[in-house]
Amino acid sequence: MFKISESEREYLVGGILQNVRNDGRANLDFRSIVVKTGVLTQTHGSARVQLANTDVLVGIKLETGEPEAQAPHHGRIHVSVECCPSASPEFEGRGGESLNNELTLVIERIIKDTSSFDLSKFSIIPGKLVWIIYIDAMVLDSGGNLFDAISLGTRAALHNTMVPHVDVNIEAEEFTVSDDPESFTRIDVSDIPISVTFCKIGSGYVVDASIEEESCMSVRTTVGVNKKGNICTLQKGGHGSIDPTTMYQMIASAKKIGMRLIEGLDKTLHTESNDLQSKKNIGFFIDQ
Amino acid sequence: MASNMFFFLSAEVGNMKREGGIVQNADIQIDAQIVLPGQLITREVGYLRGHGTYELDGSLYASVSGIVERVNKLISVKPLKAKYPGEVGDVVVGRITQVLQKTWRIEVNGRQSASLQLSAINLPGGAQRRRTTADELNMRTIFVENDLISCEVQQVHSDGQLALHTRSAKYGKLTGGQLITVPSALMKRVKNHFYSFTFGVDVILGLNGNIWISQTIRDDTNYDLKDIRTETKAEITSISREKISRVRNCIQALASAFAPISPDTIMETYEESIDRGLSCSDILKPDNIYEVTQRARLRR
Repeated sequence: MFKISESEREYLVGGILQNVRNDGRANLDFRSIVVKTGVLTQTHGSARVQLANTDVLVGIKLETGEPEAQAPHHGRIHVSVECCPSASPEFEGRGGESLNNELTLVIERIIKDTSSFDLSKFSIIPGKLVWIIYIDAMVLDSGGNLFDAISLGTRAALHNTMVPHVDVNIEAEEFTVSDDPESFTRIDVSDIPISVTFCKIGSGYVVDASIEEESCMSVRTTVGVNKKGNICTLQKGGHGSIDPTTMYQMIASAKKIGMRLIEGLDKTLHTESNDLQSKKNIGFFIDQ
Repeated sequence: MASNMFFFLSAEVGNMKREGGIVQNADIQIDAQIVLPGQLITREVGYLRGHGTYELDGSLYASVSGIVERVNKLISVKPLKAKYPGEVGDVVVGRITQVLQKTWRIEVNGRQSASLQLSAINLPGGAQRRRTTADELNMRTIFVENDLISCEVQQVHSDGQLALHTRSAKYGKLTGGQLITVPSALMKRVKNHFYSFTFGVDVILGLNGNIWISQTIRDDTNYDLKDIRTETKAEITSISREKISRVRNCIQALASAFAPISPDTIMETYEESIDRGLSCSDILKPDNIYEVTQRARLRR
């Protein structure tokens, strides 16, 4: 667990009251976000998101399988988040399990929201065969605000995902997945929400908390926002409480920030997919 | 509330790094040889194998990434990122991890925790006297777990463990500011590691890579227990907070550009950021890091 001294905490809390955080940001400012998609060749889609020290890798893998009994005409989604033990000593052994579960839950809620994803498009043979979308996120380094980094990464990775073309013979119930790398379809990610996480520290609250700030927080609220600015999920973490007025303020800020984040992310992803240069990357850690 | 959000493509950042990087920059002539682990240094025989190298089939290879140093026949590699080794007389900033019998355990980014003996601090009141059991029981009134302190390396034990001391008025508990950690290899040895900038910010440049930044109010009273307990909490205005944060971001920018950190380079970066009209949080945008640290990086 990252710990800071009492005097550092006092300084940090005092700064939030004055709207000047330790790294000079205002309470509702995000850090610079670095995104890269298509970083893993073994996956159908992948992205890496860096927020200062936070480093998150998201991979999307598609598999064919049977649908769930209660939704025979819909594809399935499986989310899993894992914190790399090298990111922080607290993730070693079983230490990261509760955090892994919490992160998985929030991302799952955001993605599985029916308004975000038209899963009926992932049905191959209705009632028999569907695509199973495995979303695996790995936290490589932790510098605070894992929730938002993973949700941004998930959206970016889904944007990058290529769904192979499938030839289906309905009568014979046979199918072949195309090997041709040129024949694929993209996933429509425009309605997929992202999360905006607020941390209540002292009497104020901040967005995109650093690891120092997270060590001082009493409550964390994760708000899922989509492109239109609608609230999709709400999750509270931590041990403290929030009064209703603050809650409303948080939701209002989340709406504004979330819409700008999505706009920024979409623009960046658009530039990247049109940029031939970035397709020539040879590896994950090496930039040419 | 306006919030700025900026996305960067990794490829763009990579380009900036390459243009401004330490290795491939037309402005900077580097005569040093930079190696990666496993990279061949020399095939010639007759060289001595120094730190950070290993021999294989008569050739010498690097075992760490860093700069090749030659002293006559001895070849060693000085790592770019390494644990802080410590040297007698170094000013370090550390965090208390444990309170033990007559000792505090202190984390200083080294291979092992450093120790601060009860006998190596100035007791409250400043009187030179024997340490009693009462003092031992009251150790937590002086430093508790997680406290940050500035201190000096008194001795390096044979196993590499550091023994620290705070036997001077300038050392002791740190309050009213913030800490930033950078690779200790970037810390430059300078005349004075307690530096007061003219714009009202003080820094303690710990050679272990911990840098404490606070506003300038230094009363010259001796470090005293009473002062710590009943310490008058100076009000920190948002203007001085912004200055502190700007210094913090300048240091962070220097660290990401892998430039040496000293009062001079911090000052240059600070001035550059003001000249370019950058707001405090804008300094850390990938393209600005390259710009603001330009002068500091060209310094040799």
